[in-house]
Amino acid sequence: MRFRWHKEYVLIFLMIGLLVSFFNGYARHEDGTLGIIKLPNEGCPVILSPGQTFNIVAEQKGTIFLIDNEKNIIPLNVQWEEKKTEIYKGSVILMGEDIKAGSYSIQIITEGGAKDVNPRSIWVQNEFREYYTFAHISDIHIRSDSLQDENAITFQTIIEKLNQSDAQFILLTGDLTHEAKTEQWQVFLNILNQARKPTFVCAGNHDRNEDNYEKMFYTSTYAFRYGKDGYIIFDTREYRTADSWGEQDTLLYRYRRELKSSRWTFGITHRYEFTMGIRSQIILFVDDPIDFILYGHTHRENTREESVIPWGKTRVYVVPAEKDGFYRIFDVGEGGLFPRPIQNVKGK
Amino acid sequence: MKKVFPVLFLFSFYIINSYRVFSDENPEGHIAYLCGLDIDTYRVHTIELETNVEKELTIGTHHGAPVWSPDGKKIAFSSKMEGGLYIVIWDSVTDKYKVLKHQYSWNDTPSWSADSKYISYISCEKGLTDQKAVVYDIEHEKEEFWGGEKIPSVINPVWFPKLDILNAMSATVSQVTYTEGFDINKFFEEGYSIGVLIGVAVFQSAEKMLTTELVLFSKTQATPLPKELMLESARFEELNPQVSPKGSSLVFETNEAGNREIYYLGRRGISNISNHHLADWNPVWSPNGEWVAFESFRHGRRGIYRVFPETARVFPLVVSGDYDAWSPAWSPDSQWICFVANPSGKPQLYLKHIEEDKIIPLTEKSVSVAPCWRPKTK
Repeated sequence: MRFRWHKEYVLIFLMIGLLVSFFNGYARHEDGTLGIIKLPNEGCPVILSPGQTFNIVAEQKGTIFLIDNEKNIIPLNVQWEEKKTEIYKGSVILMGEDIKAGSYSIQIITEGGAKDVNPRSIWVQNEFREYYTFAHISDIHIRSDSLQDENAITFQTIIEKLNQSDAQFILLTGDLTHEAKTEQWQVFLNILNQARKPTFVCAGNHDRNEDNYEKMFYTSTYAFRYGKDGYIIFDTREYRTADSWGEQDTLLYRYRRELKSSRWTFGITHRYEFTMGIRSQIILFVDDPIDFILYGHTHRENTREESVIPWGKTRVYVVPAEKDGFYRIFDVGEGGLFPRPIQNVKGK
Repeated sequence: MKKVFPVLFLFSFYIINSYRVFSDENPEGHIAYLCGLDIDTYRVHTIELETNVEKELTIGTHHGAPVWSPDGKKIAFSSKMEGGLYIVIWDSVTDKYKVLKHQYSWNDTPSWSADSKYISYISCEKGLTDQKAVVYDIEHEKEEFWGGEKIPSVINPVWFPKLDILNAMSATVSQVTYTEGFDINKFFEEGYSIGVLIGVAVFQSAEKMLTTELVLFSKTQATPLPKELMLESARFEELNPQVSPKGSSLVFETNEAGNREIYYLGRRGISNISNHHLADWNPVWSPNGEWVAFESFRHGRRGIYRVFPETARVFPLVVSGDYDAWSPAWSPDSQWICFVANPSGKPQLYLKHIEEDKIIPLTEKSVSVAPCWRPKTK
């Protein structure tokens, strides 16, 4: 029997799709890639206090709202820049009596009426303490499309543990998936969105499949401030680790300068090797060295000999693979960075 | 005197217009560059500027930055193939590839000798700390490690086209301190036979920290640039030495001034020619040896400037508050540059005459980087 297209059915499906997207504000495309709002997103969120400003990157201009956990919608004032590239950039001021500490989704309604929501993208804190904690996990390697896969179960277990911890945010340093396949990203995002803390991700060599990491999180090089401290997230990739031909060196230099006044500056990446691009190393470890670098990739803790980047100024902390049950929480204070013992949820 | 003014006026009018006629011409030649979605998919492409005809070099994957031979006939680049990263030579005349035979599995950053007969590159098993400088004799298909046993790990070795500055140094040999065991006579003997390289040595200092130093080396001899030329070199990290086309001077980067600067080393000594508190890096000599293009953040975003090294006078070439520009490559006549910029959001190639403001877009693809302008074919 040959399937025949009936105009009425198509219209009904289209109406259902439009209604669903209108009421739910579906966050990403069906394959998990970002929709209209590119930044911030749940892998590259914003942590700030009321009255502060954050940047938004989107495919289209529109009105911006916050949505809290009770589904209350709070309109925000956005100033869009004149369009210079394929995307729009805007500046948003976090002003409003209803804005309280907690997590928010960010929503856009475009001039054409299209709607998009990125969950867990805005985290409001009334104050930033001198002393705080964060968690570091790496090498999650989501392998299948099932939440029952061993690595997915381990990831859920650790996210639950960290939800109950005193960590202010979670750093996930690459190899989030095993082969960067659509179904692996969907499982990863599903579990990531169970986190009740801000989650900052960076790309690992296993997360590279053409440009699909950027389709999931838009950028692999970014920076943020947390209180007095600065964090630079960058990508070291496979084979030619941190090349000097593209834009990353420009961004690294710019972020390093912007964060120069920080109490401590952290480099967050998937791997460090001597073969890493010399320009990136000069920027981060030589001319104006960052204080600490955190990464994974090796699936083991760093040795004593590996505790400092060979250029001599930057301390190294490597966390073993999350897929094997490992995670670590750090305390940050005036005295520096203090690692707590590495934890394991698999009894290793 | 009154008769002279109209003549002068007409003459200056002629000069200005003749210049305009010249500068309105579009640039000529071929440009090689990397094109792809990202570093995992980069391949070398060439584009002919008069016709916009393009060609993709399809051997292997993960191509490195292309380098034209000085005779304009061949391109050298690194490419990932089974077993490692190989240096590949593409012959533009025969459209054939030659994959060099290596002893080590990782080979990168090729540089041609002035006569296009040899290629130098780095070769290693582990990484930055065991990179050897290698010279490949193309005609005899022979790979040789250069610099002798004592040479530490080296990055980015480049050839001296001529030995002028080295001759100047040798003239004052009695006043200059070389490394113990360095044989200056053998160095020059080997230099005149095949050539001399300069590279950046990466080694552990007494405090067991990595540091860099500029190193001269021939087939069996190696020495850091004498301390009489490079004061307190051990305390700073030098990078990116570039020898002038005539071999009479050298520019390089160092953080000696507290931030990254371009330094010029000529017969009269050494001087800071970029001199700004924001980073200046990646110096590139113009083929006529008059200018050095470099990148700087002095106006906020990454931009391209040129400096006249004798006077350290800096002129902006490509500077914008809206986008970054980097990787300048000079045309053979030293009148144009090809560079990478991101006004569209993705890095693409652009062309610019050095005396004009107009910028000509060259590529509109996914990502295009690392341009190299073909020298005039000999």
